[in-house]
Amino acid sequence: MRTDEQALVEAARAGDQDAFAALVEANQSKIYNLALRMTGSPEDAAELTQETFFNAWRGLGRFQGESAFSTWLYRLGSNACIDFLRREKRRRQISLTVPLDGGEEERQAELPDWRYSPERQAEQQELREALQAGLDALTPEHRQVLVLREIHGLSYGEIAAALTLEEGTVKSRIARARLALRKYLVETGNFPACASSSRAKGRPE
Amino acid sequence: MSSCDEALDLISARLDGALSAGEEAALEAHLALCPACRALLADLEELHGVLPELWTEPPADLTDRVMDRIRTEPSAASTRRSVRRWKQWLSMVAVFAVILLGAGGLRWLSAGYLGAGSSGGAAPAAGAPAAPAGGQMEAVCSGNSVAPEVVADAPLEDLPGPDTVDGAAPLCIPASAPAPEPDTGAEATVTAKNPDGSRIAEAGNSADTGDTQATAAFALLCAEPELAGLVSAGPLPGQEETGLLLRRAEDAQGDTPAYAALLCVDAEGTEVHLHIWAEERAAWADQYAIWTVTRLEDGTAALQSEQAGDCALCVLPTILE
Repeated sequence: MRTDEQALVEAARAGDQDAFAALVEANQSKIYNLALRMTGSPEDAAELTQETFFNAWRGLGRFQGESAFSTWLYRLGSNACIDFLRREKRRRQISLTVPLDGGEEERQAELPDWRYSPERQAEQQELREALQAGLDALTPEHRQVLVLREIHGLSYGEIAAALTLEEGTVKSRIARARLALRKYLVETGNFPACASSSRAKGRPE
Repeated sequence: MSSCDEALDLISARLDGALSAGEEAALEAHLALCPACRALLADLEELHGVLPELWTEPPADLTDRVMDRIRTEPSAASTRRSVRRWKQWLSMVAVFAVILLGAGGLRWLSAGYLGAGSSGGAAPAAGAPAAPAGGQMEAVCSGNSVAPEVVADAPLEDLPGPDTVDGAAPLCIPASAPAPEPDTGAEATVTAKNPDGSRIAEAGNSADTGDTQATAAFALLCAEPELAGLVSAGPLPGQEETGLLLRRAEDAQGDTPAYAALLCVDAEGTEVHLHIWAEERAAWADQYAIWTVTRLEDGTAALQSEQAGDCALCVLPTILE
């Protein structure tokens, strides 16, 4: 698979747009999901995904195959997200209520799935919103490592390569991000699961 | 027996399958005695299980939109900096100093002399003190510009290399800063001082990221191991008039992207942000390293970072006044 990717990259670097389109197709979910969870907005995520691939196209000459193509894309994507968040922060408070996932909604409208009761759909949506609100409450540097680990399933090494960090930094940042997310969700009463009298409050940090 | 802080790291690593047998045993031992951490483990396991459900399919037309954009834009080879342009710029710019504060004190990575015209070569400011014995150094800022000193005109290749020995005399010094940009209005000087007030270095300049919100900016350094190479000043890509920033010069292969660090003060003048030049995007990438600015009574400002010990810098755009 890697050599197929290499062939596509070579071709794209030589100007073959169809080859690049294949690379986009293969990697767009990764970048889209990173941007979606970093920004909480499907529209912004789509825009940032386009921007990332556009930058990748322009910067192909710089990519020497020193890492997987997706690792390089993650780097471009996370930079684009961070820059975007910087600019957005200056303009407004980041809303903690997250827009509904447009994609999901559209699908539901087109193909109503009667396996799920409206109640369950609402619960799932509520869960997604609560989690996104939790992510929004994190610092961007916590958010990005947590998203890449938990949602994208990247290893510490892959995250370290993508974000040009030390692996140890990635590891400890993820731990702190998990703690911060949990703290936020508990404090806002949004913890998805088991309510609990057994959950100790105010865990020392 | 581990503490709860250590347990957090172990719990997190366990979720990622990154625990050694010994660490697993230590964690179990702690959990047996700590209900708070058991609760934490349960919660984090839950989050670990549920977060992947946030994965969402992108809009169906996203690839098309990407390719449309690519097709309609003229294909551009990545623009490479012109070294010749640099040198031209260098001849007009002030000297800069690069300061890196490690936990052990002051360490100079590099510094450079840039000519202010063709004045004769003079040695850098004399008597630069040796690195302080240890402890944190507070960088303080002053809004007064410093009278220019004569500086040697050195070509790019002759800029000194890294110098990390404690006690080695750092090169420093400010010469005249370039005319400030009208909108930044910053003609600023930086003074780095030892805790006892003795002066270590000064440099001055201004820059603008081009972002309308950021005002004056300054450049120093962060503790990146890669930056232990030659550092020199150069223009902000896309902006002729610029100011000061730091770049690592190209290595012998000529292909390594130069590396630049830039600090920007936000519009409120309360935070300084570190940006790294992202060559592949021809744009500044915010590293989200933030220093908070505190005004001191004597009119100077102190910069403090949570990343204690790793970075140091001084900045003083006049916005701080």
